[in-house]
Amino acid sequence: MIKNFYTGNNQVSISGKQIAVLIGVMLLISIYAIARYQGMWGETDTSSFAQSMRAISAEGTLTPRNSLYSNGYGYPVLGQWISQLSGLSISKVQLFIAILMAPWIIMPAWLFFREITVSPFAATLATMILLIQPEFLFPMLRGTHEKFTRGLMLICLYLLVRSLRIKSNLHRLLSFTLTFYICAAGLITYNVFLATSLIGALAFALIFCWLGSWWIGSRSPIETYHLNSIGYKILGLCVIVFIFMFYVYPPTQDNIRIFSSMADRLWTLILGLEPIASNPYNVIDRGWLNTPIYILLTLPNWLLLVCSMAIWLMKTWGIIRRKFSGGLADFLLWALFTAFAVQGLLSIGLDFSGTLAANLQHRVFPSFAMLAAPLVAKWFMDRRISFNTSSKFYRFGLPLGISLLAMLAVLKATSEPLLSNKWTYYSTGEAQAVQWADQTLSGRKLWTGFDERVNAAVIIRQDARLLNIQLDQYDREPETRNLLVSSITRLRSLRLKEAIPVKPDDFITYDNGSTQIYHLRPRSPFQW
Amino acid sequence: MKCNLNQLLILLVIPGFILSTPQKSTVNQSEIKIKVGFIPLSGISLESLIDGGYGEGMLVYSTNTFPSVHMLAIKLTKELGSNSAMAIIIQIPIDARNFDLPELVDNVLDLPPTIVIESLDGWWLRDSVPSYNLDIQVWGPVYAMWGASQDPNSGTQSWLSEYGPNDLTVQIMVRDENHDGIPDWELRSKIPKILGRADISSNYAERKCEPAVAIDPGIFPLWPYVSIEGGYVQLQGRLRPPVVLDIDSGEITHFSELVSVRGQNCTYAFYTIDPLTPNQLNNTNFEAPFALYDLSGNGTGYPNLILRTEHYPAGDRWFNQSTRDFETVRYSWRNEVGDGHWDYKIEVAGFHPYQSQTPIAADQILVDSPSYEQFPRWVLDHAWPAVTFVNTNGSPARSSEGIYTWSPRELGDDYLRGEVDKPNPNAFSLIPEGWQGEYRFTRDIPPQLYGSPIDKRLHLVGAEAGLINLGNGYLLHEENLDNDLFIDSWTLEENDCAINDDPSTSCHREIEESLYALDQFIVYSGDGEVEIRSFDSPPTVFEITPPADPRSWDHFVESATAFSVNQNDPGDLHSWLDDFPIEIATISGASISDVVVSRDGFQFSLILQPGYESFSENELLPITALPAGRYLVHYDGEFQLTHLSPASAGLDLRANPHEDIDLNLDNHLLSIKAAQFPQTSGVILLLVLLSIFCLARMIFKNIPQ
Repeated sequence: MIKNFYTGNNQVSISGKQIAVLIGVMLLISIYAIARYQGMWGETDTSSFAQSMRAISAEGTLTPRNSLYSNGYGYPVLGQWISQLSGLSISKVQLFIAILMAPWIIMPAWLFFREITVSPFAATLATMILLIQPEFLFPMLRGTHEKFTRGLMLICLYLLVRSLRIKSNLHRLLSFTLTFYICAAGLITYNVFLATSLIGALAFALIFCWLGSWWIGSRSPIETYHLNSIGYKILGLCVIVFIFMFYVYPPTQDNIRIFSSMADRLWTLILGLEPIASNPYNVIDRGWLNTPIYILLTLPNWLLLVCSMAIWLMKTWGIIRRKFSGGLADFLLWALFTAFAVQGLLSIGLDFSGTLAANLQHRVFPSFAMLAAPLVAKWFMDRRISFNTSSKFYRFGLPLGISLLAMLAVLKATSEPLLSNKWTYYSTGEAQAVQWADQTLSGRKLWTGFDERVNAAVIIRQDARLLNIQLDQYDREPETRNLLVSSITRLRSLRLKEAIPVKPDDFITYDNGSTQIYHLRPRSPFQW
Repeated sequence: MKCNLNQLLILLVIPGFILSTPQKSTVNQSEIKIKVGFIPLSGISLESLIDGGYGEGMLVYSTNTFPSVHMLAIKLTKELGSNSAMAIIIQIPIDARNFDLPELVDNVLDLPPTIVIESLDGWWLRDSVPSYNLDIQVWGPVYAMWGASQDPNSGTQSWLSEYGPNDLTVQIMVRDENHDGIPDWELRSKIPKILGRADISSNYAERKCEPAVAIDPGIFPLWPYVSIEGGYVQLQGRLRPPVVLDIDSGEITHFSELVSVRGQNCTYAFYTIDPLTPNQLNNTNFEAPFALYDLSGNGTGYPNLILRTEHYPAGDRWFNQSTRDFETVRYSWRNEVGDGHWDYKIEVAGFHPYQSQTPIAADQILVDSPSYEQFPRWVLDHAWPAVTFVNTNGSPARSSEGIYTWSPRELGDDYLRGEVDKPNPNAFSLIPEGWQGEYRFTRDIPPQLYGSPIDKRLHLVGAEAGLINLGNGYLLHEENLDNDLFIDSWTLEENDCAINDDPSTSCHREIEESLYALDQFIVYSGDGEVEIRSFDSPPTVFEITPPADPRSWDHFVESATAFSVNQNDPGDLHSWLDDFPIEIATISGASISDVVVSRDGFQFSLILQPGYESFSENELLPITALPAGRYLVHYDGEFQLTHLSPASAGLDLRANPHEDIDLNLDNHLLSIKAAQFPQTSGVILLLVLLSIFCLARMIFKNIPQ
């Protein structure tokens, strides 16, 4: 039933070249992300993990009292280990090394795609499709756990699908199973929330496979055996998650509260007991120059979404008509896609209910893309004969289109300030001003801008606990009387159409040319 | 622990065993009496057990109704070789209240306790003196700490509602260091359960002077720890047993304070939100300290000086994480022996950090607050940016915490923290009838009072304004027009506003009289007459600091009493002129308004009605033969009059040439400039594009057909 395309020296050689180019492309994207801001950027999650790494080191425990990352200790420990090993500071690890590690995702992705599509060409095509997804690229280019979480998810899926092809070699089966559990355990230590999401998707996919194959009536004994083994693996994963949450790393028990809250909020929303908490998709208006720009930049996402959904509908229709021609791997691909699509739909509902900062859809989309890409690639490969791939369109037009989409994806993933209203870069003048404030405004609060841009940058570069000032952001706190205003702040003010909260007669207490610190003029005896 | 059969038989046949003197005591409460019986679980007599003998027994508190209803079982034990004695207090469940005694012993002793008391002395009562060296644990919904009150009728819930019946709620240490049967200090600690609420975590109370306390032995003098009356707070001058049994419900409702904070002459107390922790310096927040003094030395259970503080260290989350320390101290005192009433108050608000290291709880705990002995002087010696003064004028307020009225916090916490520019506009606009209140918040000086030669009253040095509520709709407004240290303007207002009505609501107000002390003149306006008299007295008769110790209290009482004898009638400003006999000018048919003090003198509007008459000594105020009308009177060494004509308004509409500022900034271009797209990154982006292009070509070129 399973056809094997990837045999033969020529194919292996081509695959090797393609993988090398894929890694090279990802490396170039990483270098671009670094070169774009030259290390002068800041972002909330990256700064949080920097803090977490420092806290683990300072307190000598995986569960520090401050800056604990409650979803898993994997990434903070890895970052700290790299720092200790290389002698690089935590900030350098987060700003440079973390981004340069992004290309590692290529191998797990390619391996899984090859396994699920049973074609190295489809695998390369799927990996390329994945790489041009801005929502997938964005977390890869930050100092967070996601590149490893996604990579480990892909490895787990690869091992799971790969083990389906092992029929009688017990030794290999055991090796794959053991490796699967080791990788899954690693994934859980990085982020138990995403690990649970994967387990949930696997469980759903298993159910869909059972139901689908039962409906078609084509399930062979070996397929039944494999489905059973997947079921046992899911149970095994649940046990590992339970041990991890309740014995190894209890802070992850926060997730129980989160899941409970998710269910409550979703039911409340569905039953109409409360109005929509927030519309997370309003961010389009605020986050980007305008709506056409946003649509253009997210075009790769939309194309993948539309194409994959169309293919899925065709396949689902085939299953309903009991005319599904693929094997278990195909069925699994369809089922996994369905499961992650369901998670995506749920996440949109949860976003409207206001759960988890209303950005769950952003977290789920990369998982969805990881299954949508091979679905599209495999569909293309299955119908390659229908297309004249030697035509100019395939030789020149389509590659050019894909490379333009890639460029758009890179611009979106790096929050290009020409197009995005969410700026992440900062200037040397701003850094100097914060340093001055830290030395001279001890114990006071300093407003640093309309969002966390400067604060995140500062916290990546130095331990927040050692700061003498308290950094204030967004709307100025009433007690904050010192404000950092830079040329970037002024431009941001124009872009956002928000007034800088200083008056013309407020005191300028610091000025380095590009950045000033204002002290609000006291207007009562209790202001100073 | 079970009672053996022999013991029970003995209990049944020996007359002295149960419900008989001296082990029996009855108390009347709504026709129900409580009797106390003793069951010697190990053969020891009650007297011996109470006196520290080894063994165990059980006290049973029951009604004397028929059938008897058992309410409390208290197991008293002292293990062989132990230095301490234990009392385990168990509330008898409803279904066991009618058990006979053997059944009760079998069923109750192993139930979870409500209160466990450990006597560190090893005895409970010796030579008629109860032991108050106790460590106590309280379980379940018993009001054993300030802030735990609950009112099921009103639905008021406290932190106590979050605790189950078997949860340990409060731990208490009580110590009687001189063994006089009156506790010297106690520390109560709430067992934390819910974080993120500003509940009081620690109560500390220390008796600071020899007590005038009558000990109430409660229901059963042999074990004097149970009462059927009282609440959490002790009554003045009494020490009631702490375990309060509600005989209607058969439940323990309170474990009363043993060192009363408010019910005695002298106390040094703390109510802190953050727990007081041993062996470290504690940054105290909330009521820290709460200090009561008997400056008369003759107190009968009431202090006559009380300092109620609210302090928050810098960054405290319960005061909006203010960047500096904040405290208010309500400093109230009585000019007589303490009786729960108060004559005066100054209340200060400021930002002085606590820098002391004061040991409390027999040196087990260090706090940053000033010590009991230093605290009044600490308050009076510091300069404070916001101070109020209240004089109850013989209508003293009754309160266990001093005078609440006119706290500087009426200005608004956000204003005091500097978060907003303007104070609460309704601050200091109402005061109880008969009372005088003053405030200042524009200068930073220590709190001090002075006697004014004009109204013969006490005032706050530096006060900016004040108010006396004369009742019946009359208010006397005080003001400090020249911004020196003294009140120099009095305005008597009559209004028809309802008492304690919202001042912002509209009501009719009319100025009846006004009197000003301006430069070397007293200027009076009222009843259609203006009088100007010479004023050459110093601005104060005397200056005095609020009392901080017995000596200064004696001095204050003497000075204030003597001074207040001659105080002027606040409802008749004209009568005040009798103290200033030298007339400068008198004008009938006239009035003044808009008094303004300037650097070199003062000025006011003088309205001369048609037919007015005037007299001016030496023509100092040249008004004779002036036509009726409105005049500006200006004084800068000599009086000058200027006729005032009505103001006319006009509008001049002209284009503003400065509006030509170019607002057409292309912010998008500016963004590009700001983004500073590096050339290298542009090259890399092109490389990305190129490599993807090559990859895609490679794929489509090599796809096997």
